[in-house]
Amino acid sequence: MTTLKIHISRKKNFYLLAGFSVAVVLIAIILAIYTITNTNRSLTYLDRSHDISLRIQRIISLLKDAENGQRGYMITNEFMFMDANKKAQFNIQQEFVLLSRELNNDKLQQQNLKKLESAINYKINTLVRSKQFYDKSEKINDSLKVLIIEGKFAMDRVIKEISILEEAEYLRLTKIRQTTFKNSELSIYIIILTCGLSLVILISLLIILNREYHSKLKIERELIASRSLLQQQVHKLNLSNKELEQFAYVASHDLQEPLRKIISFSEKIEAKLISLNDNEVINYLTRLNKSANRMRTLISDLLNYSRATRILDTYEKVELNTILKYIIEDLDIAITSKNAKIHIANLTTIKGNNTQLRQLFQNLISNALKFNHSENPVISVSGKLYNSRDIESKDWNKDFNYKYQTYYCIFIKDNGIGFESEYANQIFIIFQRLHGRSEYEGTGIGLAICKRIVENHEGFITAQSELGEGATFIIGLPQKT
Amino acid sequence: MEIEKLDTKRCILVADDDTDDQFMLKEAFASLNFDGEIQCVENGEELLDYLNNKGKYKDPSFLLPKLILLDLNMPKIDGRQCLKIIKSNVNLCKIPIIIFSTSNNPEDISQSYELGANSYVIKPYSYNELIEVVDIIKKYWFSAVKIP
Repeated sequence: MTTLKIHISRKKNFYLLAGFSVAVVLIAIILAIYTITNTNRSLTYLDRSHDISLRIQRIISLLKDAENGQRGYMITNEFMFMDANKKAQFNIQQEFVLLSRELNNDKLQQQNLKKLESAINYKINTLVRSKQFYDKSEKINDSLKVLIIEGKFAMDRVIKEISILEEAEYLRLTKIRQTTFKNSELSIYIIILTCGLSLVILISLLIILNREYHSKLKIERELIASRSLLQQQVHKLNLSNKELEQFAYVASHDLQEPLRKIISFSEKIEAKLISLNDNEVINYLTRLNKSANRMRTLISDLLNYSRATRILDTYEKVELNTILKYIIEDLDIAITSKNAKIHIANLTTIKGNNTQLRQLFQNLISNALKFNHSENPVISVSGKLYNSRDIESKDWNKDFNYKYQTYYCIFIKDNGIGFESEYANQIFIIFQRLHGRSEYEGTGIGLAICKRIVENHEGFITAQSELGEGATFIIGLPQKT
Repeated sequence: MEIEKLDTKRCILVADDDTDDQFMLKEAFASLNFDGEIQCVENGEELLDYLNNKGKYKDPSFLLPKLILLDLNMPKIDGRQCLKIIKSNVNLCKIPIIIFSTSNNPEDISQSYELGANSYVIKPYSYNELIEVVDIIKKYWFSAVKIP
């Protein structure tokens, strides 16, 4: 019992530890995923800021290209320079769209971008205006110079806005980098902690498993020891049972010997004395013979009972219909004198002991004849295969421990005197009788023999009856494969 | 039916440890005017000595019995062993053996026949029944059938 308790508490600890370790591993996995996602995000930011700075550089370079083209045009008056200028302006628009897409979800940078856009637009506007002015006057004068200077300032503004944008981007990148570093530092600690914890858990689990294994070994050893003890006890019990059976058998067998002599010699005395015509002596002798004969029946029945207690070691195929055919032949005189009708349905073949089963049915059918005053006694024998679960739901089920799955049930029904239902169990007990000897001859052993035989076959016997309503005896024999 | 004339000493041998049974059998045979001799031995050892003309049964004018009535439960060597020994002996195996026992155990009955018994008679309870059985034995073995 204590071993069991210890075992249970160990089991509890084991589950607790196992649960804890699963939780630790889960947390470690979640943290790892979190760190990896963070690092990924930082990498994406890195990529993005790289793209952004590339685009900014390209915008500056394109703006410079446009300005250079315009300058070339103004110096040489060659339209080829203006092509480069237009192309640059177009590309600037495109780059700008891409840049604004990159900074789509950043409010501050969007504002910065708007400022940059207006600076760029202003710059382009100065370029356009300078060109228009130049085209009108076709030479560089002071007004154009003012416009060109305005263009320089516009360019400075663009560069300033760009540097603001870059600064903001740089700040953001630094921030992200710092968090990433912090996170990776944290994840190192977490990894170290998780590894350490897992190691501790692993060692504890190993210790528990080891203990478990040893306690299991101990329990197994104890089990083997108790099993062998049980086997010894069973062996002893079997021996003593066998001795008891042998004793009962020998006792009842040897009791017959002196009885036989008593009967024989009293008969001889009777033969000698009968000529004396002494009624008193003859009366005594008749009573003596009657008693001796009764004792003879008792001993003979006891001998049969003791024989029925012998456990079967061999099983043979027994055709129940053949057995019943022989029984009816044996009981022919009683059947004819009682004017009885016996109906036997088609019964199966089962595995059992032929002699014992014949005794069983002989006892039951001769009882059905004996305890019957009807003018036309009718005995019917039928059989049906039942599942043990079906039997449990029957009203004749007697809390029997059903070891087998299916039982062949044989019903022996008569229209005899029956008995009160409360005696249904008592009738199977040895020497139990429900009637006086003057009413019905008998020793009270017959049904006890039936019960022993059925038990030898690992089956059950039960009876259903009401006084004056006839009786039904039900025998269930296991269907053995 | 007429009973065959018997040689003296070519008789019935009764092997039974119960002297009352011996006495009763002798009485029964006598009451039926059986003119052969009835010899009795009390155990298996004596039975085998008798049949082998040995020990206290050594007799120059010895003749084998015509019939043996054998009880199963006897001291020293019991009826089953005797049956086995006799039926495996070339000289003795032809003597008919009637098992004469109180046992009505089916196992005893079938085992006896397996060992070569020629009949199996359950000792009757009453003297009157015994006389009936003895009469049948006398008529069957000494009149109806031929024995060596």
